[in-house]
Amino acid sequence: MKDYTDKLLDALDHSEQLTDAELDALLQNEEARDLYGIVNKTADALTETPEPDVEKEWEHFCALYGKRQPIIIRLISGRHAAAAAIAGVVSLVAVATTIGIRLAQNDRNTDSDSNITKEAVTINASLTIVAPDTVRIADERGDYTTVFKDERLDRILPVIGRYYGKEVRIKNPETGNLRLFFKWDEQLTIEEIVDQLNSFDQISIKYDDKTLNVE
Amino acid sequence: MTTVKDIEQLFKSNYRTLLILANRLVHDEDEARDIVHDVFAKLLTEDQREVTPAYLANGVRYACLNLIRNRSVRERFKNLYALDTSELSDDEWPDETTINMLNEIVDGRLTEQCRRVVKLRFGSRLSYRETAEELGISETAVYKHLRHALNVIRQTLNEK
Repeated sequence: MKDYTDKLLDALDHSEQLTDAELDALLQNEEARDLYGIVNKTADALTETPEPDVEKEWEHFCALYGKRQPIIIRLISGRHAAAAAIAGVVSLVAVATTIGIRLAQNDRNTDSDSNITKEAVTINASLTIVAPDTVRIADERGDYTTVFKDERLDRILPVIGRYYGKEVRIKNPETGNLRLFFKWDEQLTIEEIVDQLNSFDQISIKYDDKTLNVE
Repeated sequence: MTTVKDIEQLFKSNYRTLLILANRLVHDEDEARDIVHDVFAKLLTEDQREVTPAYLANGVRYACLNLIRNRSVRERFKNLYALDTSELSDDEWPDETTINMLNEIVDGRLTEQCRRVVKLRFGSRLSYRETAEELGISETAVYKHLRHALNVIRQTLNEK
């Protein structure tokens, strides 16, 4: 005769063989529920987390949530063209290696240096790897495309929504959990982006002036 | 207002701890990572004057709680999630004392093979078959080791 430990151990490995009613009945039993509590806590306690690369995670965070305006490097006056060129190179390296710097630059957008001229240039790295699974690429015109690799829809849409000034509402969390490989060309209109996303079978997005609504 | 520089500092000094907390609760590194990122992303839009590690940990805990609550009982059971989330919402779990105690029981009171079985099945969530294949033993042996381990853990916790 199987006791509740046996029944719980059976169910843990073959829960698909139990109907919802059978599973509920098992978990209504006090002994089985207490035992499951021990299993759950043991699983929590034994779950190991690999040492994260915090710098890379910060870069990924910045890629997803950082402001997306192109970096504008204000150059000092034309007679210091050589110095300006060096500044440009340094900035280019900064863009390619640390997005944190880009965020910091955007954050300090109150450029009050009266010595700078009105001349401004936009420096774009030709390929900026911003995270192991998300890449932001600029073409020769400096137009950006962000490639989301195996990223969840509920993480992609807020990035896009923020860029186009729209809130995102996702009715079904399961849809939000969908993982996509998606190329977002920032030159396209929101209408075009929504059309592209709606070409995925499982995705249906409607939008109005303020909101992207995911069914 | 928390500045981006503040967020960077908070992120770099707390990310690891928060990731471990989230991963402990949702048993999925990708989910855990997303949850931690989301908590920091909220700082960009909220007018938070003072952000402490405890505030961030609470944010992670509640995000995990929401994720678990949105799963069916079957999904929670299959993923070894908490069925009763009241301990989570009351900040009673995870507590380091019990976590250390459970690790000590597994490391100190089980045979080496039994410990391996428990870590693979409960820690890494391998199936009985996968655990058996990994260790070169039968599924029946896996089952017996788990049964023994659960008895030892239950008894030891009751004694404390």
